[in-house]
Amino acid sequence: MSRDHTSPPAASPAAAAPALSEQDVRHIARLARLAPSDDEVARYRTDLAAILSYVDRLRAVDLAGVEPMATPLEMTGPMERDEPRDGLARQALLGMAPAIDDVYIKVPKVLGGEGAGGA
Amino acid sequence: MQSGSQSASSVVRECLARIERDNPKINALTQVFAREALSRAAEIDDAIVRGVPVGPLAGVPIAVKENICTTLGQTTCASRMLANYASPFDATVVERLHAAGAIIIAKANMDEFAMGSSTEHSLFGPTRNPHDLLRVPGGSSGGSAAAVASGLVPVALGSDTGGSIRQPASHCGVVGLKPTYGRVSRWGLVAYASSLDQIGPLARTVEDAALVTRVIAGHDPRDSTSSHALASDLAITPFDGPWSVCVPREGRGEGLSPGVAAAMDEAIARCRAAGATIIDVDLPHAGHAIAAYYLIATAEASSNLARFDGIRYGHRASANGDGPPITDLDMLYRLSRSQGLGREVQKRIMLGTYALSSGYYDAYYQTALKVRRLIKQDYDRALAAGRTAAGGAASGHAVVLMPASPGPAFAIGSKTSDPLAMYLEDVFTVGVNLAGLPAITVPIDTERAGTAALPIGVQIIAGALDERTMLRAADRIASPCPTAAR
Repeated sequence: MSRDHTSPPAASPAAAAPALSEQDVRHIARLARLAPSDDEVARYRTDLAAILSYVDRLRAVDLAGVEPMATPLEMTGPMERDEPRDGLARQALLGMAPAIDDVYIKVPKVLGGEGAGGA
Repeated sequence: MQSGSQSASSVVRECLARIERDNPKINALTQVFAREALSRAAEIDDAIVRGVPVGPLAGVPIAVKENICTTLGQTTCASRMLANYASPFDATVVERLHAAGAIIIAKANMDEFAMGSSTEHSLFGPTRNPHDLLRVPGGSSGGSAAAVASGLVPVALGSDTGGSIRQPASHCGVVGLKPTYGRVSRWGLVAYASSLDQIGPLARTVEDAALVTRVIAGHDPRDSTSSHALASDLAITPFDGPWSVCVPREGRGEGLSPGVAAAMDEAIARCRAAGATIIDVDLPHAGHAIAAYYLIATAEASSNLARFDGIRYGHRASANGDGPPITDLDMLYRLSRSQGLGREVQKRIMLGTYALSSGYYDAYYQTALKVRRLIKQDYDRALAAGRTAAGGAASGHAVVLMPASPGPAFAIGSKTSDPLAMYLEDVFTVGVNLAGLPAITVPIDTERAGTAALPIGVQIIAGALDERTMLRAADRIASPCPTAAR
């Protein structure tokens, strides 16, 4: 799955405590490939707004000159020898998929159109 | 076992009998592999009789958390999404347990995808605390903790992303060890937050926890973040020099239950009696740990859980329900995920997606990563001060002593409606994951609540890869596990 990093929600990131709208929640849900119902959108909005308001305290920390720390290891990517290794058998992998047709994984139509297609 | 005092088969049979009798009450174990465990035990007994070398865990029955891949049974992450997922491979830790002679006897309950602090949010229903069945065991490795506390198994594996081994260990009165980030391979652990996740044991003694960690630790080419440090120092040895215990003011402040405050005092007294110098330290950014943690962990989760799309494995939405027809791939993704993932999981995915999205990435995610460095520096400074107080960097040893949780186990259902109350359960544990340090929870005392005596543990934290010092200190202050009522 790819994630769409464009078109942020309308609220301004510079605001002290972002007021999260239901439209914002729908937008985030779309980016996250989720399909909440209207009721759920309302509940997620309340919960997410409370959490965002809590994490807002980080804005008060003096971060001048502090480098971000993405991992505790701080190592550069270790190189591996480029040697072929056995992977999992094709049947084992296909066996995990919820819908298959012979050696293919079935998916609905990828581009436009109507109706759930085959492989 | 190797001395022949008890056969593996009899140990497994005893465990199975206890599981049959007590597990229905506490719901700690989700799948029990009776036939496979008995047959494996027979192999080990046979090997011992024939004089074939068996490993250091020969015949020891072990339960494995539902998010660790086993070819036995399912690996569900306690989620509808993976309810039928049978892993085609064993996690590295499971391979190593097998090689050491251990017997995988069951899978253990957890909060869905390890997102929770109570083991209430599970496909299998809540696990109950063996010390009070109306209370939670903590989480997310609550099944593992409750299983060990009630004697269903001597040891269980859990995983710890923000306290998920240490907090339930405290609530259930057992030992829970989170190794240094990178000590143990994460290959085959279903990822929640890859820069924080670490597998570790829950056991009844510090010695057992150390032994299991020694078996599962070590470099694994399939996990590039796994350390090349030797596992041989994961043993309890006497202190060979002065040591000190750093007590953060943040861990003795307001908001602790009387039992936790008393357990901290008792732990400090035991450290002093064992010869430690006690020093007060500050962790100035500890108050920001929860905020930084929930942004970083959820950002990583939003990426890691993107793999659950209804295509390659896991739940796939079908059009024959009462929902809208599935007309395209995007709709299949969205419906499969919304049907397969629980509410808390979806909430965290959305929080992480938001923190990473354009326009918010700097304000949330990058800010949290910078605060993370400050939190790590707080620990580094505290431990350096501790080593100095103990006689200088060359010979001194230091640990940090902290509560494992602000209070004892809470009532089932009491923290499920307030989104922040549950997160604040982890206030003393998440900093360790952000900094990548090793930490262990050991039982100290109990706190009375009605007729129940609720266990209270404390946490001992050491510098990266300094499990040796952590284990020495833990062994000096741990109480025996309190007995759970039957």
